[in-house]
Amino acid sequence: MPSKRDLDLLHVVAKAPPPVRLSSVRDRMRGEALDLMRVEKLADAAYSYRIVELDTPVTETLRLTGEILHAPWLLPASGQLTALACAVCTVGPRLEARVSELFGQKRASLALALDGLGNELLFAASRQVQDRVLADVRRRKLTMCGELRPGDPGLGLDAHAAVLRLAQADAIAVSLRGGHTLMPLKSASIVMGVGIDLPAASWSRCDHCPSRAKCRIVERAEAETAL
Amino acid sequence: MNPAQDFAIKIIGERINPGFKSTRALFDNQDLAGIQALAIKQAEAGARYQNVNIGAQALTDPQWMARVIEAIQEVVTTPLSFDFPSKAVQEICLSCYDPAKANGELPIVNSITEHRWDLMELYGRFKFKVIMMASERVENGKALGNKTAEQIYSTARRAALRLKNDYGMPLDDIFIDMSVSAIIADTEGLNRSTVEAIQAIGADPELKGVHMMGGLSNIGQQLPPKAADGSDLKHCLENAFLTLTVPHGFDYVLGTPWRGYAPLPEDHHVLKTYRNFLEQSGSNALRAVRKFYKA
Repeated sequence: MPSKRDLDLLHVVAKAPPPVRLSSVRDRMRGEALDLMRVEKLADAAYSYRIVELDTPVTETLRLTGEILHAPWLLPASGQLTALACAVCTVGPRLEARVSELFGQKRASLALALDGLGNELLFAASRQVQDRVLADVRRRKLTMCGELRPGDPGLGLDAHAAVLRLAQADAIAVSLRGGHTLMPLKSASIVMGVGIDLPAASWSRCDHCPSRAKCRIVERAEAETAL
Repeated sequence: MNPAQDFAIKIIGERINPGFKSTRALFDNQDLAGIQALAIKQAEAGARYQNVNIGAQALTDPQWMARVIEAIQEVVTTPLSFDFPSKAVQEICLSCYDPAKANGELPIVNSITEHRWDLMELYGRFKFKVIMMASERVENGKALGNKTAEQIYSTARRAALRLKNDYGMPLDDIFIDMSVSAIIADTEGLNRSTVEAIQAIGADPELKGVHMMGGLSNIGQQLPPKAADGSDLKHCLENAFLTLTVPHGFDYVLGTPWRGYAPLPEDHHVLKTYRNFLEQSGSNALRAVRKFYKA
């Protein structure tokens, strides 16, 4: 079960431009938040993932090692779905504790900047674990298709517990709190289809997002891709 | 992610290069899995080759470069192109490269020029294809930039035949890099020279089989994003260049595999303006450039 702690992602985030254009004040606060993270070592990014074979026959209700996931979107138009890659990543508990503390001290601007940086770190951790899964899948001469996260259209929030168990989230101390909230809060779980000759997914988990049309993160990602 | 190219062109994937911001982070962090994921994405988007450029680190940390090559070959079967001007670095790259992992396909050495011919000393010990830059020639022992179509064509011809006759290299293994310059300050007719040189090379029966290639990202540099007709100016300029040159044998683009290229119709604003631009020189050329984005 591949897992990794102490991911050094802070300098990745520090070098990257913020995901959305910031006012000069917010940009300054982001800089302060970065310094705070460095000095107080608030980032504790980690990931864990497993590629788990599916029981056969594969149906819309996917069964694997005793777990059941209803994820019909992951069924491919062609090829053979043979496994699911289940991953979880986190930026750790220290950051959110510090954000709460800052709010308590009525330093809301810095708290918000720190919280925003936490999101950036989580994106970076998520991308890193997905890259690792993709490389691992390819080394096994398999292909990958489709990405869902519990709570997306196509994978209910009630799948969270099973996904965490499958990803062995306890290895990086990520757990589920009542109401399907992840602890630490800045954590994410991912499910991806794995198999033989899977075609590229014709859908994205963002397709049905009501904010998609005006999403500046999507806009920037598309602009970067086009370069 | 896998747009069919509407041209008869193939793509040498360019993204494994710290010149791209998102890739630079992967190299700064020695993130091999991230580099592997990028290679997979390029392969899945249809890259015929993948260019590998790790920047200055190639000289200071050859072991890291070897790890990069091995890691890429672990996950994709696309043959690689090694983008380093140094013979020592190329030697390490060629030693690391395993043709068996690329279905027996040779790597590409990117690149030689008439002035930088020492890389060919590796040929024999290693088998490879080669990218030959036609943008400079040697005269009286000095490297000189080529500006006219005749100079570019003669350099390409001389080098290709030298590779064929002196080294026994099949013409199919030779890629002539036709440098495509930015139009924004092209008052010397460099674009026109490149287009005409491509026509001349394509028409030369002795060069039948060589490939012509180039990176297109320069062509639209520093221009506004939109053309006067509202189209994506940079992308349309790249397509305009290809519309004029692919019929004459320009068949490889060093580019982003998911960018997608398609011929422009004759009445397309950018193609018409590009044709007009190619006929201009000096300040007329600068005025012609304005017509791309000013109605």
